[in-house]
Amino acid sequence: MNLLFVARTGVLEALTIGLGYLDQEDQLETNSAFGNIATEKKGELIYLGKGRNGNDVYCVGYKDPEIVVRINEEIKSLAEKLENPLKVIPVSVPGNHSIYTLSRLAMLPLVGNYFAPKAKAATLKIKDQLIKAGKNLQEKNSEVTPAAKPLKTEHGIEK
Amino acid sequence: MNLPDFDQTTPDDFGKIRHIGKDAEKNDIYVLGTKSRDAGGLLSSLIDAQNLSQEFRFIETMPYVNTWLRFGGWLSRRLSLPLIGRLFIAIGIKEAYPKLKTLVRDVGKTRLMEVLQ
Repeated sequence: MNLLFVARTGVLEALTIGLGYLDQEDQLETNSAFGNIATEKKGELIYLGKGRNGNDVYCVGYKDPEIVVRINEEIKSLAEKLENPLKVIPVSVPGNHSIYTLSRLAMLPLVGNYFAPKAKAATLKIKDQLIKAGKNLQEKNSEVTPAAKPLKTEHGIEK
Repeated sequence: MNLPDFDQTTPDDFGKIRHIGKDAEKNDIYVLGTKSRDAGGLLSSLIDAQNLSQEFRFIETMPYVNTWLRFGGWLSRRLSLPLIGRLFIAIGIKEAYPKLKTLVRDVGKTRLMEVLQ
């Protein structure tokens, strides 16, 4: 199943977590979407790459990530045929609202350019925490996948 | 204003897709509250990523929500003052109604154009 990470900011928090999930954290600062306020404003899904299981991984920013989960579930329930279902994973950093506030200020005309680098810097400050969250999600996800398949051993199939 | 769902939104309704009927071409028509002014990009890319763009079409109505509607809605839903809030909502709806009507007509026309092409 393809994955979508949703945080309050897509090009900052969700992107960092997504790259952590893909083990591509070293590409964060060179990623063209990182801190790109024009991309954030569009509100569209950002494709990050393929995960270990071959699933497509996306990220996006939305002020209330839980609503994206609900909308996606509603869309899936109404769809007649669903070949590429998307699993939405809402992510948040407890107690951290400054990145979201700075990203909103960065969208303002004239003064926005002053806040955009500050939003990036605030994200880099908690980069390790976000990447760790992405890696934890990767472990969780890969734990679930093998369990769906029976493991073959010398003596047959392990239960 | 006598419509059953008019000004009845609760916080739990955001993100829920509600069926409200069928149009002349038998398309199912739904409504969705997103709690955001700019959810268009998110919605279209959500369906694109799942190869569902043939099944769904989202029509943005937020550009037609004027200050009267915003203020009236805030009084009615957020401050639980529907009697006062609906006075402003009534003004807002009267102002927005011709534009909403044009929007509905344009959506129908576009759909017809798609069919003709």
